[in-house]
Amino acid sequence: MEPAIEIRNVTFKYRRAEKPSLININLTVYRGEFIGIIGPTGAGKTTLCLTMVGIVPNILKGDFTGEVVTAGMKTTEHEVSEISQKVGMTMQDPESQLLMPDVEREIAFGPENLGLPRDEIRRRIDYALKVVGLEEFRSRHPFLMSGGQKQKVAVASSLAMLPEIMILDEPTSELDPIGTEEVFKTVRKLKAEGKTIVMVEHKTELLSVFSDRIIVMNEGRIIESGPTRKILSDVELLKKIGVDPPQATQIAYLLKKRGINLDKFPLTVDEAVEIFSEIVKGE
Amino acid sequence: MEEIIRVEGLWHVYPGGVEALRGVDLTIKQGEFIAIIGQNGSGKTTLVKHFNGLLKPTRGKVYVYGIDTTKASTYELSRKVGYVFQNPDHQIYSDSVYDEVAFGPRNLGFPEDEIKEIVKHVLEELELSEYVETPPFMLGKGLRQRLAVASILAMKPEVLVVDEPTTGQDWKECVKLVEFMDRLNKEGHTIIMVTHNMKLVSMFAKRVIVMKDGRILLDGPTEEVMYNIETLREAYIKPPDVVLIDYRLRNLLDGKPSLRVEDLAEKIYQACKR
Amino acid sequence: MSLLLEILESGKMKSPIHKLNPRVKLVWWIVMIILPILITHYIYTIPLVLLSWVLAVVAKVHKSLGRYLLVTYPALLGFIILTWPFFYDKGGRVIFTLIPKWVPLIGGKGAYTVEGLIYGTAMALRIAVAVTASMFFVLCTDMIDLANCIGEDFQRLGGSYKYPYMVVSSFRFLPSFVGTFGTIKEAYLSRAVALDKGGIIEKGRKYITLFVPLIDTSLKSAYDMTIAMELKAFGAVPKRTFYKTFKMSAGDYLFLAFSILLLIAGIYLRITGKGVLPL
Repeated sequence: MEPAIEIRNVTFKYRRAEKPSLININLTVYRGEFIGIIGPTGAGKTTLCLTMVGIVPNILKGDFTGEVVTAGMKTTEHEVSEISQKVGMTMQDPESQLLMPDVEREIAFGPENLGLPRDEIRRRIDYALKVVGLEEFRSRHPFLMSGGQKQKVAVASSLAMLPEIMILDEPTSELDPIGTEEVFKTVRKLKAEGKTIVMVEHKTELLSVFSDRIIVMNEGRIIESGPTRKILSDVELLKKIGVDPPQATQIAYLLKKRGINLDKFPLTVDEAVEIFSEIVKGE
Repeated sequence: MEEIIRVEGLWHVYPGGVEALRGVDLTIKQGEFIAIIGQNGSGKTTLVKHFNGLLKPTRGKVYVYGIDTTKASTYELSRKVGYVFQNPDHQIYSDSVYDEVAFGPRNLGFPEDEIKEIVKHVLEELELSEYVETPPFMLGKGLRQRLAVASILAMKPEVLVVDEPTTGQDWKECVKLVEFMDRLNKEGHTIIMVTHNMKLVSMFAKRVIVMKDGRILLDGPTEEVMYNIETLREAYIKPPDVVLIDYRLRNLLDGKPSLRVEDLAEKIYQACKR
Repeated sequence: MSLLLEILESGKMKSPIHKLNPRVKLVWWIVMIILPILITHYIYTIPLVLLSWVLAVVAKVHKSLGRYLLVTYPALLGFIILTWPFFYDKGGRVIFTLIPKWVPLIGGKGAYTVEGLIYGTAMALRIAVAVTASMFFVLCTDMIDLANCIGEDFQRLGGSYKYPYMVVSSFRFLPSFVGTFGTIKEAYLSRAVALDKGGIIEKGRKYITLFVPLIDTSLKSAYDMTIAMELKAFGAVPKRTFYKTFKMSAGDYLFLAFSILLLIAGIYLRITGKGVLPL
């Protein structure tokens, strides 16, 4: 498998910070993977995302050691405006990243900056609107849209750059359950198109359905990484650092502690129903 | 239990014509712990802003401790009803945590030595004592949210309205905050929480009000509402996984519907032991 | 709040004025700022104020304009008419004096004269020309469109589009500024700050404390916006595409000619002294 993002021995401290935000990070994200990043507040998840796209250390300066190669480009040797042509990133707060008074111009903004011809820009707008399902919202003002729709606009405007890699930093933090599902469904479509996805999330239940691998961060370090099921089943670790494992998994953990034997920990409702009804009927 | 908030036929229409509330009737008693849930735009925030007079009814009436809110100012109502906003940065302006917490009581005219006591007590309760001299902007988001709660609590309101306490925080911080609200509730305070987080609702709230399109769709004890899965779906709400799993296993398990992970684990364990 | 929405939706309205090229509207606005500097006589400033209103009716924004100016006119203009005449000392017909005549030494000073009143009113009218035109301009011009035009023109002339584009498009912050300010106000009210009580100074002081969190949150938004622009490769290529173009139509040239004519007339009136109030 080909690497999409390689991070080697990265340590980074923001200029005015007392402590480093990232300590000795080593991570490879492969093409086509869907990586989830979890961890408590202050773990360094957002800083890690900004490092992947080169904003750290090119725009947000500080003490930076190590090497990051994203989409074949070493981040310290390329401008963010170059790297962002291959990597799209959406940030937590939808308001401050929506720059234009209507959806169409918002999505056009990136391609405009690349100097693309107008009909190419129109094609990309149509494509992006279709993927996120916002075709009727073309001339709507983002302020007048719901949180979930705003997040979708943010995703669409990154998509119009036709990136190979998408980084999403807590895209559902301010959304209701339905808005959250909409965003996840959109992201799944992106994965189906072969894009590499990196997502910072707190909602482990949803990550369990969509992600291939999970990275656990705490206090600037990566403390665990591995296949989704393995990581999310480690209830003790997650609870210790303050992350809420899927409820299905927590129930299984409690049962195992009381002596009930389970060979697989469920992550989702469907898995839980299947596994638990078996053990109840079986015993 | 004494009735403290009464809402009768409440309509609220924003300038521009948006009907945010379309006929809401509701009573809240002293000591309740209520969660108000619903999609964005269902009217949750609009409703609770009537409780401290930030919004006045377009039609209908709202009575807070017997006072008609159209005849009272937020200044007066804030003595009884504390409102914690979603974004702590929208209210923080002082140089130190102490001043920030003392701001409210000072405005209410509490004597300075009483304020000293109140601030000390509130900071202890919210585990912020070590930060008393710290400038608020140097605290992390979770701590700033706790600070916002502290600064409202220092005004000694009997009712606490909290709007989306979980924004921008991790799970541990969310639970800590809501556990704190639960402690307050056990001490007799009335808690009204507006939130999207179904897990916290089912773990802590005693009564749940579901809103849709400016009306109340469901209003009842938490187990009843959470297990009303079909109606919740109409309001675009999904109950937490615990509820969904329990519901689908209900024919195999005995006991009350679970709201917490521990409860369901116990039920399954008991069912296995049979 | 609804005025905010109107500013937001200003680009969506359909009227001949809205359809005008933003550059042309910008030129008109600049002219309307320069004219009251050149012309002081009310015979000319009154029609200029009326001009903005007539255009507002054509653009169907007269109601919004009225709602905003309903507060501004009396406050600003009233203030000027009340205070300016005290600084005018060439008047003959005295209406009243601040310091009564019988006070020894300084008696009779601070005279409010009829001529002073006329002078003050003329001053107020000049300000009204600029204020009315500015509010009208903002109500019927989309700032982002304007930023587009200016950026494009700068680029065409060989310069960089970056700074003009960024400056004008920072107007996009206005609605969120207003929205955040509203929320901050509510948060303060909830902490027993009686914003409606107290004299002007006390009220002013209270409102100023609201600015601290406002500036704080706005700076944070500005910071995020800068990162967002970087992530969309702003500044990547020297020749940026402007998706929406604004060509000049016949109507645009006519309106532009009209503005220029007004300016020339203003300069003429100034030079010949006809536009100046003989006081």
